[in-house]
Parts: sequence; C-alpha cells; structure tokens
Amino acid sequence: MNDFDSFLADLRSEFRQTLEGRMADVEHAWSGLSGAGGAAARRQLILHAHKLSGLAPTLGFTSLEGLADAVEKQAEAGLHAAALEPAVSALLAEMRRIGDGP
Amino acid sequence: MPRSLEKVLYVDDEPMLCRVVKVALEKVGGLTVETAGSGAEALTAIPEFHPDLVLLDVMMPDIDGPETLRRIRHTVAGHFLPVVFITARARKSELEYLGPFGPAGVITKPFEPLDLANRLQAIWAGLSDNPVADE
Repeated sequence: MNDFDSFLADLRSEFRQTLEGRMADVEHAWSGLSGAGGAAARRQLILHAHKLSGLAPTLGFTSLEGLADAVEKQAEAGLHAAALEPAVSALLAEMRRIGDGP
Repeated sequence: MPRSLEKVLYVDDEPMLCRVVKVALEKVGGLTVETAGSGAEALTAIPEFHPDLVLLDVMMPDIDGPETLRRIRHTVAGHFLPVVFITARARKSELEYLGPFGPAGVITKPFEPLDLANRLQAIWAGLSDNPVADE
C-alpha cells in the first residue's frame, strides 16, 4: 500500500466515524420537513444528501451514492416527508451498515 | 497567466474532500494547494494566495459556487482568474445552467483522486486557446 492508499484508508475509517453525526443531520432535516421551517429543512436535506453523494463514492463507499442521490432528487422534486421516507430510510440503513462495519 | 499550473485554491465546505483534493493535487500532481471552506473564505484567500486556478464546489451553504464565482469576477484579483466548478450534479441541464457563469471547466463528483491533477492540467492547457471570458 503506497502513501496515498494509506491516506485514503485512514480517511475512510474517519468517514465511518462521522456517519453517526451525518445520519443525525439527515434525520433532523427530514423530520423538519413537516414543520414551520419546512423549506429550510428541505434545503438542509438536499445539501446533506448532495454532500454524501459527492464524498462517499470518492472515498470508495459507492453504495451510498445512488441512495443519497435519490434522496436529493426526491427532496428537490418537493416530495413530502412521508413520501420521502422510503428513500431516507434506505440511505440511513446503508449509512448505519457502513458505520457499524470494520 | 503563468505557463504552467502551479497553485490551486480548492473551495468546498466538506473538510474531508478538501483533504483528499489537497493531498491528491500536491502528492500526485506536484501542485501547491490551499483550501477554503466557503465562498467568503475563498474571496479572502484569492488576493493573499494568488492561485493560478480556483476549483470551486457548486453546492455550498450560504454562498453557493455560482454566486462565489460572480463575486470573484468583481474583484481585481479574480476578474480573469480561471475557475473550474466541481459538482456532484452531472445532469446535462445542470451543467448547461453553470455555463453562463463563466467557468473554465466542470469536473463531476465522484472523481478519481489520482486522476484529478491530470484533469486540471488538461483544462489548464485548453485555456491558452480559450481564455476566460469577461462577463
């Protein structure tokens, strides 16, 4: 393993440790869609999903890209919280699986 | 514009991507890289760091990439500065949306870190034929 591979391996490990906080961000934004600050929550949900779809596959977590992209697109399309639930749940489940991994 | 690409400012609010890009461009590409975590930080960094090129994330909280570029264009140091957008949005209509903002190029995420320097060098090489347009 060369220096860059070693650097990426360390960063992947670090990314796993950030997933709990990132999951909380996604859940918080999703749960806020129905409230008074729904528009701001939607922007946050789109942003969190967008960042995941860019970062995760760059670090090698390719399974998160499509799931995050689905949440982003559905949120952008204006789906309400209940309609977004399947996509958000799928994303959170995969984040949890990766976060619990080695 | 210098003959070779040497200094790059990378602007992204995601710290982990900043680290990937900095290491990839410095260790693999031999470039000097500074990072900024927001459009506002970029506007401060440009006249201090004097980058040859800015690699600018499109979707950021507060000031997004296109608005950051618009503000860069209204500064002395950034009026003709080549700016390359980097975005997870790869849909054709969205890339066309970025065109009027005058980027020198667009790189889509996810990207292969080891290939990023080559992609920037290719964009840089093309600039001699197509200098950055004024607004």
